[in-house]
Amino acid sequence: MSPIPELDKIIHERKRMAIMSLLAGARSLSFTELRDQLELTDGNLSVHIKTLQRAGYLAVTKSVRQRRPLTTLALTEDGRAALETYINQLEDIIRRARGEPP
Amino acid sequence: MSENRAAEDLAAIREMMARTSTYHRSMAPPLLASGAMGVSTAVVGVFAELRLTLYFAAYWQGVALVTLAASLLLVWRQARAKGEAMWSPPARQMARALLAPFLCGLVFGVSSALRPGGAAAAWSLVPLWLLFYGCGVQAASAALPGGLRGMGWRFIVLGAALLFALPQLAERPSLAWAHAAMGVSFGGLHLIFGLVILIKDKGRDAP
Repeated sequence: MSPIPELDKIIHERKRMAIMSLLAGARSLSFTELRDQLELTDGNLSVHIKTLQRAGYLAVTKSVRQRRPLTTLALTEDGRAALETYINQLEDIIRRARGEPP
Repeated sequence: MSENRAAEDLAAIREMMARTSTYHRSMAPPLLASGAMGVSTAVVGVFAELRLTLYFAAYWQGVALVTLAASLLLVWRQARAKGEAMWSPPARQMARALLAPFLCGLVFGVSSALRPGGAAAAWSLVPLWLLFYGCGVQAASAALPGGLRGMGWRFIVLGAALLFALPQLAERPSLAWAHAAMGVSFGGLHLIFGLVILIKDKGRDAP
């Protein structure tokens, strides 16, 4: 049996996993939508966004709407691929634990 | 990592993805088709002089079912072209939200058609159908793309305005006007929102 692959540490953190999952469902979300969905503080969310952005998983767009700054977040192609790999790895772990073929 | 943690994480990921999923198929073709159908149905209704309540209710409900079938066909074609499942989680969410108000509208229509009545009975259907349809669209709005989120309220406001305005009239307008009201409200609003979505879709990359 092949060894269990190492999970992506960046996505493995629960809040970052939630950010990636919410963005995978939507085309893009604003900073406030994401903050409200996850019930995080601005500072806390900013830290996670920076981590994901540094990894190349997240694209941040800043614009102005109705004279107010708007920060929009979306998954990059790399981010979408990384989340897909992560999901496949989780499914693999469950299959192995149940003794099912990979 | 344990099996339980992996299963928990997987469930959390799926739940989060479903939460933000909106219905991403272009709604412009079904909306424009519904709008065109509504307007042409009203024109035919006015000139064919369908004056009995039975005919009015059966005519419009028949057209609504044909329009629904045509819209589903357009959506199915889009899904097939992209190799995607038609009944995605947001599509199911929308269908669930629309089902109860649609059935209520149908029940009112059938019961009105079975009761003898003239223009007054048929006229009472117009605001009720607008209100039920508005409630359905509004209930489905969480799964709808941004440009359509206010559509349900427009139907509700129009239905409520008509409901309050009708008793103020000394004499109920003829059924030809009821057909016209259906065309303007259902046909007109669908056409407007269809055009809005069409412009929005053209302004960004097609999904």
